[in-house]
Amino acid sequence: MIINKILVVAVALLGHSALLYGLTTMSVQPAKPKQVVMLLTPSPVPMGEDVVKQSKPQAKPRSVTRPQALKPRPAPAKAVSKVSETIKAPEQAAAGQMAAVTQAIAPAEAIPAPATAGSKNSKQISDEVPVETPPLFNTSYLANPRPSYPAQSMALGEKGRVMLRVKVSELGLPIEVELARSSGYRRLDDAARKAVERWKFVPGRRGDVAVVMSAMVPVDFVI
Amino acid sequence: MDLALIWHSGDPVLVSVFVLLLMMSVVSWCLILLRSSLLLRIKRGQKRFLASFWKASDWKEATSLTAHAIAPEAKLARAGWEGFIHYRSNAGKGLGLAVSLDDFLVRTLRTRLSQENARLELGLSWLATVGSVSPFVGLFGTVWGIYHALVAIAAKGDASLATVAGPIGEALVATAAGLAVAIPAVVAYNAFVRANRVIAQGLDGFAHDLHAQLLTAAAIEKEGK
Repeated sequence: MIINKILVVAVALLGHSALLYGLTTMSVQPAKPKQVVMLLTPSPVPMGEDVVKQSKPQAKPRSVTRPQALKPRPAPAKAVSKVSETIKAPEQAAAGQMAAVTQAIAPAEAIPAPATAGSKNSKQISDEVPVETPPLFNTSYLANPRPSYPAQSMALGEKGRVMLRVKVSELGLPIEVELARSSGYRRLDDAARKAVERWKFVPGRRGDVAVVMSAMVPVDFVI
Repeated sequence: MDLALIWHSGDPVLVSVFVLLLMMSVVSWCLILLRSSLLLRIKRGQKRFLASFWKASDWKEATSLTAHAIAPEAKLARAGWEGFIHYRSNAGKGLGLAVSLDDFLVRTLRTRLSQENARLELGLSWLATVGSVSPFVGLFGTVWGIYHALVAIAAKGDASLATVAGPIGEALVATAAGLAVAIPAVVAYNAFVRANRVIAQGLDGFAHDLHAQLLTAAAIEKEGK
Protein backbone atom coordinates (compact mmCIF):
# COMPACT_ATOMS: atom_id res chain seq x y z
CA MET A 1 0.00 0.00 0.00
CA ILE A 2 2.78 2.44 0.91
CA ILE A 3 4.71 1.34 -2.18
CA ASN A 4 1.62 2.02 -4.21
CA LYS A 5 1.45 5.56 -2.82
CA ILE A 6 5.12 6.24 -3.48
CA LEU A 7 4.67 4.98 -7.01
CA VAL A 8 1.74 7.30 -7.59
CA VAL A 9 3.67 10.31 -6.25
CA ALA A 10 6.61 9.41 -8.48
CA VAL A 11 4.34 9.12 -11.50
CA ALA A 12 2.76 12.50 -10.77
CA LEU A 13 6.13 14.19 -10.34
CA LEU A 14 7.47 12.56 -13.48
CA GLY A 15 4.43 13.64 -15.46
CA HIS A 16 4.77 17.23 -14.31
CA SER A 17 8.45 17.44 -15.05
CA ALA A 18 7.91 15.87 -18.47
CA LEU A 19 5.18 18.40 -19.22
CA LEU A 20 7.32 21.34 -18.11
CA TYR A 21 10.28 20.06 -20.09
CA GLY A 22 8.10 19.63 -23.15
CA LEU A 23 6.70 23.12 -22.81
CA THR A 24 10.10 24.74 -22.46
CA THR A 25 11.68 22.87 -25.34
CA MET A 26 8.78 22.97 -27.74
CA SER A 27 7.78 26.53 -27.02
CA VAL A 28 7.79 28.82 -29.98
CA GLN A 29 10.24 31.54 -29.30
CA PRO A 30 10.07 34.84 -31.04
CA ALA A 31 12.69 34.78 -33.68
CA LYS A 32 15.31 37.39 -33.27
CA PRO A 33 17.98 38.37 -35.70
CA LYS A 34 20.97 36.29 -34.90
CA GLN A 35 23.68 37.03 -37.30
CA VAL A 36 24.52 39.65 -39.77
CA VAL A 37 26.63 38.46 -42.60
CA MET A 38 28.47 41.10 -44.51
CA LEU A 39 29.89 40.55 -47.90
CA LEU A 40 32.18 43.19 -49.23
CA THR A 41 32.79 42.85 -52.91
CA PRO A 42 34.92 45.49 -54.43
CA SER A 43 34.73 45.76 -58.15
CA PRO A 44 37.85 44.83 -59.97
CA VAL A 45 39.14 47.61 -62.07
CA PRO A 46 42.06 46.99 -64.36
CA MET A 47 43.79 50.23 -65.14
CA GLY A 48 44.90 50.21 -68.71
CA GLU A 49 48.38 48.70 -68.92
CA ASP A 50 49.32 48.60 -65.27
CA VAL A 51 46.89 46.55 -63.32
CA VAL A 52 46.28 47.78 -59.84
CA LYS A 53 46.81 45.04 -57.42
CA GLN A 54 43.57 43.97 -55.83
CA SER A 55 43.64 44.35 -52.14
CA LYS A 56 41.69 41.59 -50.54
CA PRO A 57 39.29 42.90 -47.99
CA GLN A 58 40.06 41.60 -44.56
CA ALA A 59 37.77 39.57 -42.43
CA LYS A 60 37.12 42.44 -40.10
CA PRO A 61 34.80 45.00 -41.52
CA ARG A 62 36.56 47.57 -39.39
CA SER A 63 39.44 47.47 -41.78
CA VAL A 64 38.59 49.85 -44.52
CA THR A 65 39.05 48.37 -47.91
CA ARG A 66 42.07 49.66 -49.67
CA PRO A 67 40.97 52.12 -52.26
CA GLN A 68 41.09 51.09 -55.83
CA ALA A 69 41.17 52.97 -58.99
CA LEU A 70 38.08 53.12 -61.07
CA LYS A 71 37.50 53.28 -64.70
CA PRO A 72 35.50 56.26 -65.78
CA ARG A 73 32.92 53.67 -66.90
CA PRO A 74 32.24 51.69 -63.80
CA ALA A 75 32.40 48.01 -64.36
CA PRO A 76 29.46 45.95 -63.24
CA ALA A 77 29.91 44.79 -59.70
CA LYS A 78 30.92 41.19 -59.60
CA ALA A 79 31.65 39.32 -56.46
CA VAL A 80 35.31 38.63 -56.42
CA SER A 81 35.88 37.50 -52.91
CA LYS A 82 33.46 36.95 -50.16
CA VAL A 83 34.19 37.91 -46.64
CA SER A 84 31.62 36.91 -44.15
CA GLU A 85 31.79 37.67 -40.55
CA THR A 86 29.30 36.96 -37.89
CA ILE A 87 28.27 39.57 -35.45
CA LYS A 88 26.79 37.84 -32.48
CA ALA A 89 23.60 39.36 -31.30
CA PRO A 90 23.73 40.18 -27.63
CA GLU A 91 20.85 37.90 -26.96
CA GLN A 92 21.18 34.67 -28.83
CA ALA A 93 17.81 33.71 -30.08
CA ALA A 94 16.99 30.10 -30.54
CA ALA A 95 15.40 30.49 -33.89
CA GLY A 96 15.40 32.91 -36.70
CA GLN A 97 18.31 34.73 -38.08
CA MET A 98 18.68 37.57 -40.36
CA ALA A 99 21.52 38.16 -42.61
CA ALA A 100 22.24 41.47 -44.13
CA VAL A 101 24.42 41.08 -47.10
CA THR A 102 26.05 44.06 -48.52
CA GLN A 103 27.79 44.77 -51.69
CA ALA A 104 29.69 47.85 -52.17
CA ILE A 105 28.51 48.64 -55.62
CA ALA A 106 30.60 50.59 -57.94
CA PRO A 107 29.22 54.00 -57.22
CA ALA A 108 26.75 54.71 -59.91
CA GLU A 109 25.97 58.24 -58.98
CA ALA A 110 29.00 59.60 -57.36
CA ILE A 111 28.55 63.27 -56.95
CA PRO A 112 31.87 65.00 -57.17
CA ALA A 113 32.73 66.85 -54.05
CA PRO A 114 34.17 70.31 -54.28
CA ALA A 115 37.74 69.25 -54.52
CA THR A 116 39.88 71.45 -52.41
CA ALA A 117 42.81 72.78 -54.33
CA GLY A 118 46.01 71.07 -53.58
CA SER A 119 44.38 68.14 -51.86
CA LYS A 120 46.44 65.52 -53.49
CA ASN A 121 45.77 61.94 -52.87
CA SER A 122 48.90 60.23 -51.70
CA LYS A 123 47.70 57.04 -53.28
CA GLN A 124 46.88 58.72 -56.49
CA ILE A 125 47.56 56.82 -59.63
CA SER A 126 49.49 58.13 -62.53
CA ASP A 127 46.60 59.51 -64.60
CA GLU A 128 45.22 61.46 -61.63
CA VAL A 129 41.95 59.55 -61.22
CA PRO A 130 41.28 59.76 -57.49
CA VAL A 131 40.47 56.52 -55.77
CA GLU A 132 36.90 56.06 -54.72
CA THR A 133 35.81 54.28 -51.60
CA PRO A 134 32.15 53.37 -51.39
CA PRO A 135 30.18 54.16 -48.24
CA LEU A 136 30.37 51.56 -45.50
CA PHE A 137 27.68 50.65 -43.04
CA ASN A 138 28.92 47.44 -41.52
CA THR A 139 31.63 48.59 -39.19
CA SER A 140 30.89 47.73 -35.60
CA TYR A 141 31.38 51.20 -34.17
CA LEU A 142 28.46 52.51 -36.18
CA ALA A 143 26.18 50.24 -34.11
CA ASN A 144 23.56 50.03 -36.80
CA PRO A 145 20.45 48.32 -35.45
CA ARG A 146 19.29 45.28 -37.34
CA PRO A 147 15.83 45.59 -38.81
CA SER A 148 13.27 44.07 -36.48
CA TYR A 149 11.42 41.20 -38.04
CA PRO A 150 7.75 42.21 -38.24
CA ALA A 151 5.75 39.84 -36.07
CA GLN A 152 3.02 39.45 -38.65
CA SER A 153 5.51 38.59 -41.36
CA MET A 154 6.98 35.98 -39.11
CA ALA A 155 3.56 34.53 -38.45
CA LEU A 156 2.79 34.43 -42.16
CA GLY A 157 6.20 33.06 -43.04
CA GLU A 158 7.16 35.98 -45.22
CA LYS A 159 10.84 36.12 -46.01
CA GLY A 160 13.10 37.45 -48.65
CA ARG A 161 15.72 39.96 -49.59
CA VAL A 162 15.13 43.67 -49.81
CA MET A 163 17.56 45.69 -51.90
CA LEU A 164 17.81 49.32 -50.91
CA ARG A 165 19.68 52.06 -52.66
CA VAL A 166 20.91 54.52 -50.08
CA LYS A 167 22.33 57.91 -50.89
CA VAL A 168 24.85 58.71 -48.19
CA SER A 169 25.83 62.27 -47.37
CA GLU A 170 29.37 63.47 -46.69
CA LEU A 171 28.58 63.24 -42.99
CA GLY A 172 27.60 59.61 -43.29
CA LEU A 173 23.86 60.09 -42.94
CA PRO A 174 21.37 58.55 -45.33
CA ILE A 175 19.89 61.30 -47.47
CA GLU A 176 17.40 59.10 -49.22
CA VAL A 177 16.59 55.43 -49.06
CA GLU A 178 14.82 53.99 -52.04
CA LEU A 179 13.68 50.51 -52.78
CA ALA A 180 15.84 49.03 -55.48
CA ARG A 181 14.23 45.61 -55.45
CA SER A 182 11.30 44.52 -53.36
CA SER A 183 11.30 41.31 -51.35
CA GLY A 184 7.76 40.78 -52.56
CA TYR A 185 6.29 41.77 -49.21
CA ARG A 186 5.39 45.32 -48.41
CA ARG A 187 5.83 44.77 -44.68
CA LEU A 188 9.40 43.54 -45.00
CA ASP A 189 10.31 46.33 -47.43
CA ASP A 190 9.00 48.92 -44.98
CA ALA A 191 10.76 47.35 -42.01
CA ALA A 192 14.06 47.31 -43.86
CA ARG A 193 13.65 50.87 -45.05
CA LYS A 194 12.72 52.09 -41.60
CA ALA A 195 15.77 50.47 -40.09
CA VAL A 196 18.19 51.66 -42.72
CA GLU A 197 16.91 55.23 -42.49
CA ARG A 198 18.23 55.30 -38.94
CA TRP A 199 21.61 53.93 -39.85
CA LYS A 200 24.88 55.79 -39.91
CA PHE A 201 27.43 55.22 -42.60
CA VAL A 202 31.05 55.79 -43.21
CA PRO A 203 30.77 58.27 -46.03
CA GLY A 204 32.10 57.32 -49.39
CA ARG A 205 35.33 59.02 -50.31
CA ARG A 206 37.00 60.08 -53.43
CA GLY A 207 40.62 60.09 -52.48
CA ASP A 208 40.65 61.65 -49.02
CA VAL A 209 37.56 63.74 -49.47
CA ALA A 210 34.16 62.58 -48.30
CA VAL A 211 31.57 62.84 -51.06
CA VAL A 212 27.93 62.04 -51.48
CA MET A 213 27.68 58.53 -52.83
CA SER A 214 25.17 55.76 -53.15
CA ALA A 215 25.45 52.29 -51.80
CA MET A 216 23.36 49.20 -52.26
CA VAL A 217 22.20 47.68 -48.99
CA PRO A 218 20.64 44.24 -49.17
CA VAL A 219 18.65 43.18 -46.13
CA ASP A 220 17.77 39.53 -45.83
CA PHE A 221 14.83 38.43 -43.77
CA VAL A 222 15.32 34.76 -42.96
CA ILE A 223 13.08 32.92 -40.55
CA MET B 1 6.40 30.83 -23.42
CA ASP B 2 9.74 30.52 -21.84
CA LEU B 3 9.54 29.12 -18.35
CA ALA B 4 13.28 29.28 -17.87
CA LEU B 5 13.03 33.01 -18.44
CA ILE B 6 10.69 33.35 -15.47
CA TRP B 7 13.25 31.58 -13.30
CA HIS B 8 16.03 33.77 -14.54
CA SER B 9 14.03 36.96 -14.10
CA GLY B 10 14.05 35.95 -10.45
CA ASP B 11 10.95 37.88 -9.42
CA PRO B 12 10.25 36.14 -6.10
CA VAL B 13 6.50 36.67 -6.36
CA LEU B 14 6.21 35.17 -9.83
CA VAL B 15 8.51 32.30 -8.92
CA SER B 16 6.52 31.53 -5.79
CA VAL B 17 3.28 31.66 -7.77
CA PHE B 18 4.64 29.08 -10.16
CA VAL B 19 6.04 26.91 -7.39
CA LEU B 20 2.71 27.06 -5.54
CA LEU B 21 0.81 26.09 -8.68
CA LEU B 22 3.24 23.26 -9.36
CA MET B 23 2.85 21.96 -5.82
CA MET B 24 -0.95 22.17 -6.00
CA SER B 25 -0.90 20.35 -9.29
CA VAL B 26 1.36 17.55 -8.06
CA VAL B 27 -0.73 16.99 -4.93
CA SER B 28 -3.98 17.08 -6.91
CA TRP B 29 -2.73 14.56 -9.41
CA CYS B 30 -1.47 12.27 -6.66
CA LEU B 31 -4.93 12.45 -5.08
CA ILE B 32 -6.66 11.92 -8.41
CA LEU B 33 -4.60 8.82 -9.17
CA LEU B 34 -4.90 7.37 -5.66
CA ARG B 35 -8.62 8.02 -5.27
CA SER B 36 -9.55 6.77 -8.71
CA SER B 37 -7.64 3.54 -8.20
CA LEU B 38 -9.26 3.11 -4.78
CA LEU B 39 -12.75 3.77 -6.19
CA LEU B 40 -12.20 1.25 -8.97
CA ARG B 41 -11.07 -1.37 -6.47
CA ILE B 42 -14.05 -0.60 -4.21
CA LYS B 43 -16.45 -0.99 -7.12
CA ARG B 44 -15.00 -4.35 -8.06
CA GLY B 45 -14.84 -5.48 -4.42
CA GLN B 46 -18.45 -4.43 -3.81
CA LYS B 47 -19.79 -6.64 -6.58
CA ARG B 48 -17.78 -9.61 -5.39
CA PHE B 49 -18.58 -9.11 -1.71
CA LEU B 50 -22.33 -8.55 -2.07
CA ALA B 51 -22.74 -11.58 -4.33
CA SER B 52 -20.95 -13.86 -1.91
CA PHE B 53 -22.31 -12.28 1.27
CA TRP B 54 -25.98 -12.86 0.57
CA LYS B 55 -25.20 -16.34 -0.65
CA ALA B 56 -23.50 -17.26 2.62
CA SER B 57 -25.32 -20.08 4.45
CA ASP B 58 -24.84 -18.68 7.97
CA TRP B 59 -23.35 -15.71 9.85
CA LYS B 60 -20.13 -17.51 10.55
CA GLU B 61 -19.37 -17.88 6.86
CA ALA B 62 -20.58 -14.39 6.18
CA THR B 63 -18.26 -12.80 8.75
CA SER B 64 -15.30 -14.75 7.41
CA LEU B 65 -15.95 -13.06 4.05
CA THR B 66 -15.68 -9.63 5.65
CA ALA B 67 -12.12 -10.18 6.88
CA HIS B 68 -10.14 -9.00 3.87
CA ALA B 69 -12.72 -7.41 1.60
CA ILE B 70 -12.06 -3.82 0.57
CA ALA B 71 -15.70 -2.90 0.08
CA PRO B 72 -17.17 -0.57 2.72
CA GLU B 73 -20.14 -2.95 2.88
CA ALA B 74 -17.82 -5.60 4.32
CA LYS B 75 -16.71 -3.27 7.10
CA LEU B 76 -20.32 -2.37 7.80
CA ALA B 77 -21.34 -6.02 7.97
CA ARG B 78 -18.45 -6.77 10.29
CA ALA B 79 -19.35 -3.83 12.55
CA GLY B 80 -23.00 -4.91 12.58
CA TRP B 81 -22.15 -8.48 13.48
CA GLU B 82 -19.69 -7.40 16.18
CA GLY B 83 -22.29 -5.05 17.63
CA PHE B 84 -24.81 -7.88 17.64
CA ILE B 85 -22.39 -10.19 19.48
CA HIS B 86 -21.44 -7.40 21.86
CA TYR B 87 -25.07 -6.71 22.71
CA ARG B 88 -25.82 -10.35 23.19
CA SER B 89 -22.96 -10.89 25.63
CA ASN B 90 -23.36 -7.62 27.57
CA ALA B 91 -27.11 -7.14 27.51
CA GLY B 92 -28.27 -4.77 30.26
CA LYS B 93 -24.77 -4.19 31.72
CA GLY B 94 -23.89 -0.69 30.51
CA LEU B 95 -25.68 2.60 29.96
CA GLY B 96 -25.46 2.30 26.19
CA LEU B 97 -26.76 -1.22 26.31
CA ALA B 98 -29.91 -0.44 28.26
CA VAL B 99 -31.76 -0.21 24.95
CA SER B 100 -33.39 -2.65 22.63
CA LEU B 101 -31.21 -4.56 20.17
CA ASP B 102 -32.94 -2.68 17.38
CA ASP B 103 -31.81 0.72 18.66
CA PHE B 104 -28.37 -0.53 19.50
CA LEU B 105 -27.82 -1.92 16.01
CA VAL B 106 -29.08 1.27 14.40
CA ARG B 107 -26.61 3.28 16.46
CA THR B 108 -23.71 0.96 15.67
CA LEU B 109 -24.43 0.90 11.93
CA ARG B 110 -24.95 4.65 11.74
CA THR B 111 -21.60 5.30 13.38
CA ARG B 112 -19.85 2.94 11.01
CA LEU B 113 -21.68 4.38 8.03
CA SER B 114 -20.53 7.91 8.80
CA GLN B 115 -16.97 6.65 9.27
CA GLU B 116 -17.00 4.94 5.89
CA ASN B 117 -18.43 8.04 4.18
CA ALA B 118 -15.77 10.18 5.78
CA ARG B 119 -13.12 7.79 4.48
CA LEU B 120 -14.52 8.08 0.97
CA GLU B 121 -14.41 11.87 1.07
CA LEU B 122 -10.73 12.03 1.91
CA GLY B 123 -8.98 14.55 -0.34
CA LEU B 124 -12.14 15.91 -1.90
CA SER B 125 -11.89 19.20 -0.07
CA TRP B 126 -8.33 19.62 -1.35
CA LEU B 127 -9.49 19.10 -4.92
CA ALA B 128 -12.33 21.56 -4.46
CA THR B 129 -9.97 24.15 -3.01
CA VAL B 130 -7.42 23.74 -5.78
CA GLY B 131 -10.15 23.85 -8.41
CA SER B 132 -11.47 27.13 -7.16
CA VAL B 133 -8.28 28.84 -5.98
CA SER B 134 -5.62 28.03 -8.56
CA PRO B 135 -7.13 30.18 -11.36
CA PHE B 136 -6.92 33.12 -8.98
CA VAL B 137 -3.35 32.29 -8.05
CA GLY B 138 -2.49 32.23 -11.74
CA LEU B 139 -4.37 35.45 -12.31
CA PHE B 140 -2.48 37.08 -9.48
CA GLY B 141 0.79 36.06 -11.11
CA THR B 142 -0.37 37.51 -14.40
CA VAL B 143 -1.47 40.80 -12.92
CA TRP B 144 1.80 41.08 -11.04
CA GLY B 145 3.80 40.28 -14.16
CA ILE B 146 1.90 42.72 -16.35
CA TYR B 147 2.26 45.45 -13.77
CA HIS B 148 6.01 45.02 -13.65
CA ALA B 149 6.26 44.71 -17.41
CA LEU B 150 4.39 47.99 -17.84
CA VAL B 151 6.58 49.71 -15.26
CA ALA B 152 9.66 48.51 -17.12
CA ILE B 153 8.23 49.66 -20.45
CA ALA B 154 7.42 53.06 -18.97
CA ALA B 155 10.97 53.36 -17.71
CA LYS B 156 12.27 52.46 -21.13
CA GLY B 157 9.96 54.96 -22.76
CA ASP B 158 9.49 52.70 -25.75
CA ALA B 159 5.93 51.63 -26.39
CA SER B 160 6.28 49.70 -29.62
CA LEU B 161 4.21 46.58 -29.91
CA ALA B 162 7.23 44.33 -29.61
CA THR B 163 8.34 45.72 -26.26
CA VAL B 164 4.81 45.63 -24.83
CA ALA B 165 3.73 42.28 -26.19
CA GLY B 166 6.71 40.24 -25.04
CA PRO B 167 6.61 40.67 -21.25
CA ILE B 168 2.82 40.70 -21.14
CA GLY B 169 2.74 37.49 -23.10
CA GLU B 170 5.15 36.03 -20.57
CA ALA B 171 2.90 37.12 -17.73
CA LEU B 172 -0.12 35.44 -19.28
CA VAL B 173 1.60 32.08 -18.87
CA ALA B 174 0.71 32.27 -15.18
CA THR B 175 -3.02 32.35 -15.95
CA ALA B 176 -2.66 29.44 -18.32
CA ALA B 177 -0.82 27.50 -15.63
CA GLY B 178 -3.54 28.28 -13.09
CA LEU B 179 -6.22 27.00 -15.45
CA ALA B 180 -4.19 23.92 -16.29
CA VAL B 181 -4.05 23.11 -12.58
CA ALA B 182 -7.72 23.92 -11.91
CA ILE B 183 -9.45 22.06 -14.73
CA PRO B 184 -8.35 18.50 -13.85
CA ALA B 185 -9.04 19.20 -10.17
CA VAL B 186 -12.60 20.37 -10.85
CA VAL B 187 -13.35 17.49 -13.23
CA ALA B 188 -11.95 14.97 -10.75
CA TYR B 189 -13.85 16.55 -7.86
CA ASN B 190 -17.16 16.25 -9.67
CA ALA B 191 -16.45 12.68 -10.73
CA PHE B 192 -15.47 11.65 -7.21
CA VAL B 193 -18.45 13.34 -5.61
CA ARG B 194 -20.76 11.44 -7.90
CA ALA B 195 -18.96 8.14 -7.32
CA ASN B 196 -19.11 8.71 -3.57
CA ARG B 197 -22.80 9.47 -3.72
CA VAL B 198 -23.46 6.22 -5.57
CA ILE B 199 -21.39 4.27 -3.04
CA ALA B 200 -23.05 5.98 -0.08
CA GLN B 201 -26.52 5.20 -1.43
CA GLY B 202 -25.59 1.57 -1.89
CA LEU B 203 -24.14 1.51 1.60
CA ASP B 204 -27.29 3.01 3.04
CA GLY B 205 -29.43 0.33 1.44
CA PHE B 206 -27.05 -2.36 2.61
CA ALA B 207 -27.20 -1.02 6.18
CA HIS B 208 -30.99 -1.32 6.18
CA ASP B 209 -30.82 -4.87 4.86
CA LEU B 210 -28.16 -5.77 7.40
CA HIS B 211 -30.20 -4.31 10.22
CA ALA B 212 -33.21 -6.39 9.24
CA GLN B 213 -31.03 -9.49 8.81
CA LEU B 214 -29.44 -9.14 12.25
CA LEU B 215 -32.80 -8.62 13.94
CA THR B 216 -34.07 -11.74 12.19
CA ALA B 217 -31.01 -13.64 13.40
CA ALA B 218 -31.74 -12.50 16.96
CA ALA B 219 -35.40 -13.58 16.66
CA ILE B 220 -34.36 -17.02 15.39
CA GLU B 221 -31.95 -17.40 18.30
CA LYS B 222 -34.71 -16.52 20.78
CA GLU B 223 -37.02 -19.07 19.23
CA GLY B 224 -34.28 -21.68 19.35
CA LYS B 225 -33.76 -21.16 23.09
